[in-house]
Amino acid sequence: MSQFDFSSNLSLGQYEPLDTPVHRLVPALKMLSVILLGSAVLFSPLFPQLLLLFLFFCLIGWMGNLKIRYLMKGIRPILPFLLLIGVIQIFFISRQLEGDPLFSVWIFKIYREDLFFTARLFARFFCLVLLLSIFTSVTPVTEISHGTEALLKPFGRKQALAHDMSLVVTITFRFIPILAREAEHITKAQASRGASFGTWNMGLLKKIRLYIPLIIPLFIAALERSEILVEAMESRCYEAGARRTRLDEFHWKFADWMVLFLIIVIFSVLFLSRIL
Amino acid sequence: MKQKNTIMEFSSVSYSYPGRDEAAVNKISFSLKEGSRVLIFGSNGSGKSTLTRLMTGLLRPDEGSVQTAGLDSSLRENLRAIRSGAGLLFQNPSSQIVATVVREDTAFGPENLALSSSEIRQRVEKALKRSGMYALRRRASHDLSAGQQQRLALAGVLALGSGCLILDEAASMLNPLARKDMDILLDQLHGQGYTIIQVSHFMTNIAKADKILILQAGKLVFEGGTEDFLVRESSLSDWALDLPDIQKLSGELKGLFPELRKTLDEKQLSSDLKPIFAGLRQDPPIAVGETAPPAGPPLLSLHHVNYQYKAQSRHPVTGLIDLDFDFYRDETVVLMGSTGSGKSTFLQMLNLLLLPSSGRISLLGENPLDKKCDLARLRSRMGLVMQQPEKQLFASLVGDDVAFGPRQAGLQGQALSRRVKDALDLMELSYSKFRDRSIRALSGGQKRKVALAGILAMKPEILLLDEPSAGLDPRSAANLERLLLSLRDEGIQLILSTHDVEQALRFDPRLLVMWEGRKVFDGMPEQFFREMDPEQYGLEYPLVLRLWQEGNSQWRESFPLGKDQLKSRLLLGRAV
Repeated sequence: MSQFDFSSNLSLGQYEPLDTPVHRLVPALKMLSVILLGSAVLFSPLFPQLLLLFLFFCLIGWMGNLKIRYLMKGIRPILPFLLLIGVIQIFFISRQLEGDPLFSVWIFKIYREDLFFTARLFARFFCLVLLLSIFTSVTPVTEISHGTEALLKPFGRKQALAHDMSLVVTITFRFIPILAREAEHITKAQASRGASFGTWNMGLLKKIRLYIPLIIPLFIAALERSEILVEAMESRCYEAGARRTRLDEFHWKFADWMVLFLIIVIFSVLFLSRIL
Repeated sequence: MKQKNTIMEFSSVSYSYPGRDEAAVNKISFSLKEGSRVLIFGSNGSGKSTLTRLMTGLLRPDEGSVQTAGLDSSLRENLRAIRSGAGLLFQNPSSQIVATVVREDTAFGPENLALSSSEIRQRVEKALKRSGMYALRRRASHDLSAGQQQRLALAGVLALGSGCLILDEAASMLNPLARKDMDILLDQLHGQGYTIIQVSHFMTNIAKADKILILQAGKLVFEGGTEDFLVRESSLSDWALDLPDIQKLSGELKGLFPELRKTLDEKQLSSDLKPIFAGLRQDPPIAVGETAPPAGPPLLSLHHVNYQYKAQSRHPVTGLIDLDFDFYRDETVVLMGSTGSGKSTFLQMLNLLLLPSSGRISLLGENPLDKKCDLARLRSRMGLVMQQPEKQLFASLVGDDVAFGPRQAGLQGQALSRRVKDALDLMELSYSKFRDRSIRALSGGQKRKVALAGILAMKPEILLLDEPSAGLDPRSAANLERLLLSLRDEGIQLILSTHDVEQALRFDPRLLVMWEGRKVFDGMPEQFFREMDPEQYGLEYPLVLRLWQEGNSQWRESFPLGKDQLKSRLLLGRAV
């Protein structure tokens, strides 16, 4: 019963400080890869493309010395919603499908396509969650914010856009553990006063009903936090829009160019396999 | 000695927050010399925090002028120079951290100054070494303890190149050990020429100060050195401040022994006391507090209980190891131990927010590990007041928050409002006045009382308190302690954790000492101090015992623990 431990249930956003070839890639490249591979996941059919992608992600995870099982834990909270979407799709969406239904339950007919659809939905979510978990496990926030800056540079007419956006990224990630901890505080406070968090036999609906009232106190907590943070930042000479420099600078190495090439090839092959 | 420059100059500065009539700071003038150590005291709402914001140009004075290192803070172009010269540390260590990695956060200031990458790296390294955080430079900032986070904040300020550190209540959320560490660090920095301005409602470190300022209701009511401060001690209560323990004790002992000097310095007091201790006749044997045999079966009992945090993950964290604990009727238990020793885990387990990974547990005759057990109901019989309970207030109005527990239990209408009223009464908050107050508008002490009322409204049989007075100003802390003692008189049993050994002794408890998830001591406090070394477990000896040890090499045989014990011992000894 670790329902209060929001931060450990949250495998997204938990950086693993290791030194592997995956960790060493240039941040901008990591981000670009996530964008390209992520969109490949979205347009790829189930077999064999998605399966191959999944294996490829597992390979990256393995090279990054990460536990795939732990990474996949991030999908657990969305699992009920996925199931719900699947059920709605199968039973309640009217379709024109050809051929005979596989089997029927009461007045509902189940088609092969339905099962494919659900399977694809699940597979895509799995792949995306895995991809993002790997990304956040091998990319510290510093690098994400560097990557944002690098990728945004061509778009920012003024320097400040890239700088400020990258700071936004940093602070967002800074708030993830903070909010997880606040949520823990509030749920524990409610539980110790009779709310049924973390009791035996909790149904899904009951769970959802319990969590909704957390949203407002969490928002308030976040706002209060940011008020103090603004003061702390200003007292350390931060001025919005002013020029800033960076502690670390990243330079593209040969390996990075190779990986970029590889990712582009994978993306193109998948894309072409889809339209041809 | 070379003439020191003025680093900070306030000339009749006033400031009022927008929308408020009364001035937060009212016509304040003073000047501080470079390299000095300054203490600024004041109760809640005295304008201390406003003063620190004025010093760093986060606020601009309505009237008068603030010059920091010769620069006028009302000119925008000076702000950068002022802020890089005078760094501000806040009360809550975690909320001033910007980045997610230690070295990144330290670099935030220099990055804002647009320094070159190599220059930033040098500064970060130097600042982290100086603040003792270098070994942790790659750690995630949210994984640090409060003490480490405060050091990190300090490093961030040092990396800016500040020669002046302003600490706004910066030690109040730290435990005694971390506070001591911080003090040592500040001593070092002061030795290296840093100006240190500490703002606090705790009257500590007075002996080290070059200058003391006291604020009350926005006015500067005292400015002077420690000598002047000793003379003015009778005015302290008018300023809503409390004497430091050492000064109180020294005053009371002077009443018995006129030859003693009034002092703020523990070392001085103990050396003054030495001849008096030496002149005492043979120590009267103290009545060893025999533990009465426990009455009836235990209310709570834990056997071989283990707990691990993040048990599923790559880095599980030990919570509790092989813990045995029986709790009987009419007992009061105080848990002590350093941060991470497992006190909070233990209390949360007693409230069933955490269930044992292994071991047996029985609470009030029920077995929570049985899936038929109604945990929610059992929890409400053992009210838990968590650390900084004001963080756990989730409703927006006082009445709603206090009503949460009873409402969950099914109470409605009249019965519910009666329950809320009774709980608020116990905390000495008026129902009609506070019911519809917004929680955000309450003071820290009031918030804590509301949080306690929310627990009391469930009519718990046992009250679990995790550091009930940590982070409160001394007055609210004393007030809260008095309320807790009166609750105990009304039959609510207490299990509480605290960092403060003096507070622990005032509850006259059975003492439980934890260390790295294990129970290392369970018994009467006298026995603990006689047989074990508190410092080994991150604790300290109580003040009276520290003084006693200085003067008595054979102190273990018999010793006083509290102020009253010391005084009666001295009177008895002198009578012969």
